[in-house]
Amino acid sequence: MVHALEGLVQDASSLHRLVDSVQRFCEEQKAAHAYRSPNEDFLNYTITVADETKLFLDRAVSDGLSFPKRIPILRAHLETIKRFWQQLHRYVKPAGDAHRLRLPAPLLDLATEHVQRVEQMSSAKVVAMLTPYLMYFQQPHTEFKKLTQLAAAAISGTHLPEKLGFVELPYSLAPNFLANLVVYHELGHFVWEEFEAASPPHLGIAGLKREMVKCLNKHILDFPTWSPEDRLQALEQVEYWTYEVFCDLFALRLIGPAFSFAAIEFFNLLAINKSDWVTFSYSHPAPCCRFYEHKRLLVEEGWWPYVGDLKSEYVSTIKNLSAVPSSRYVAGFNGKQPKSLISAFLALRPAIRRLVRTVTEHAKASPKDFAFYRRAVEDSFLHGVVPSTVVMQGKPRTPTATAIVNASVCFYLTSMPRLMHNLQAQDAHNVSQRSHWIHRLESWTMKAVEDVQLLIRRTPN
Amino acid sequence: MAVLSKAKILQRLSYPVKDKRSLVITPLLDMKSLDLDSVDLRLGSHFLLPRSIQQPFFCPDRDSATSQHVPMHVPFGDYLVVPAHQTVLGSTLEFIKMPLDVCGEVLTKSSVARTFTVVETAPWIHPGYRGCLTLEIANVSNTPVLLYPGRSICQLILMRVEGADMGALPSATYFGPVYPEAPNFDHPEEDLERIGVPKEKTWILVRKIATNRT
Repeated sequence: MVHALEGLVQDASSLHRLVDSVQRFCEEQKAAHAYRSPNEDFLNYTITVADETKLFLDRAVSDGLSFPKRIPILRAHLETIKRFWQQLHRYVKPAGDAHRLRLPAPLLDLATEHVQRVEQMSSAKVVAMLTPYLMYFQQPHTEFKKLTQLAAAAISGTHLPEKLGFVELPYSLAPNFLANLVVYHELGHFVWEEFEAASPPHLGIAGLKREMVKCLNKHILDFPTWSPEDRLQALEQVEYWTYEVFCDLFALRLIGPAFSFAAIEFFNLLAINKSDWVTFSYSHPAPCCRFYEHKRLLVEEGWWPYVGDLKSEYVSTIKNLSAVPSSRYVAGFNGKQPKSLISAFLALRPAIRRLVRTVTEHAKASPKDFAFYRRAVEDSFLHGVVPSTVVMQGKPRTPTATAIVNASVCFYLTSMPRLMHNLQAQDAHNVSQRSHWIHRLESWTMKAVEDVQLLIRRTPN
Repeated sequence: MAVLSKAKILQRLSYPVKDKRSLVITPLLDMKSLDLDSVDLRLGSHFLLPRSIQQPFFCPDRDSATSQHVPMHVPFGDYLVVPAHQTVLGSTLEFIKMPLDVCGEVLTKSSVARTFTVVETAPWIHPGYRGCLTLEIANVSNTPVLLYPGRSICQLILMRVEGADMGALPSATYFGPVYPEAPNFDHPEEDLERIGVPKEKTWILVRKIATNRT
């Protein structure tokens, strides 16, 4: 028994050291930086859970001393808590790195506000994290939440707030505004996961999954005779593609064409091979298929007349990609009847579009607002001015945040040389000067988005 | 040179941005900020705090923009403590676009000045300037002072410039900042060479010392 007790003490001490170190990291970060409230809440949560864990460890050892027969049970509890801390450990550092100076905080606040207007998501909050990868991620949180419930059997305070999501941004792009509009796609993943994890699951998701099976049965005649493993794999694959298109359309509905242009900008940075534009991978539909959906939605929602004629390579890219016929899509994965699988997915798209339309009914961006404010906002940028107040017919007005964001992206695509031409000794072909003014445009946009929130919230005189 | 009255300020605020006479002050959160002959401006939430430097002096050169300060964000509702006899760089919450025929002066609000907080030591704003104004804030009192982002801190006086050049292109230096910006210097030897001081003189030595110590 002495050995068992010593083992328990050793185990508890080693976990205590880990927990203490994570806790100190959180405290140091909080003392040194300002955070958006979800990140601050998450760091506070970790600090509290660390205290509770330490209390549990003390209790466990004294229980072990008093009741040696309980040692195996106590060690089983320790295992659960270790798994919980393993997962928490993964989230804390990237969340601690994402303080306000390292993030486009006004954009994330705006995006959160948009998500809160989505059906069943009014209490949504998003913890931003920084990743070393040049990629955006939504960290699935359902499993983590299950772990918190298991850990709750031994320690209190592990319960995470409802509708709390985790989104990762590449650390290098984190302070940017324009590229980070891609984050709206990740928020789509967060919403999907919440819908799926809800009890009962969101009706629309359940309906879409039924539709998925119907499409597979229709396009793969012998699908019912496939082995359960093959059927499962096919379903999983179509489901992955469905997520992606759902998230793209979700992002477009919330923020408008600015998302498509940000996506092109990001894909360009990743230097995707031309041949990959038509290729369906295991996890993602072909970019051509995705941009077909982008353009379709932009046309349908009335955005296209305002952005379709912009003199920008990005617009041509969208036009070219969306014009590729679906017969040219190819499968870049191994599996049974890949072509038929793609056909089944293509047939599912109307159902995906319907679901996105339904859930974002109260969160959709307005092309009319954009059309109304665009000229005035772009004029402000052209004169180096933050467009949180624009004068129209002699009266000051506050544009909507989505109008500002979309006008900013249009300005970025078409008018940087004009802005630089208005200034002394600036050459639009000088890359470092150009970068400087893009950075300025982004800071004006972020300031305007932040100001608009203040102007909306102020107490009227 | 006449100080613009409230009516004239409002008139300038109603011109579209492309009008060279237009004035922009945004966000104007409270119309009471407009006084008879001035506009109250609020403190923004970004700061540059002086960094403890390793060399025994400060050399105003091209590197000083990044080496002397630590950026800091203080959210609305929170505050920054400025210790006694310390300085920070802050900025106005409001973004300003000056007309091409109007210059301005920023003065500490009298109530703030009475706490021995001095807000501006280079208060002149040129015609055509745009950006959030960088404020050199000094606590010259013997007690620490709290600064709250969002509260009024200074006032802007606007004055008409007679015979202004309405076609002038703005300079790119200090154009359009939304946060406080550190100073923008050339290296001293390059600066002085323009007025005939040879590079080999003392300034090289000064720069060498500065470089070795950082």
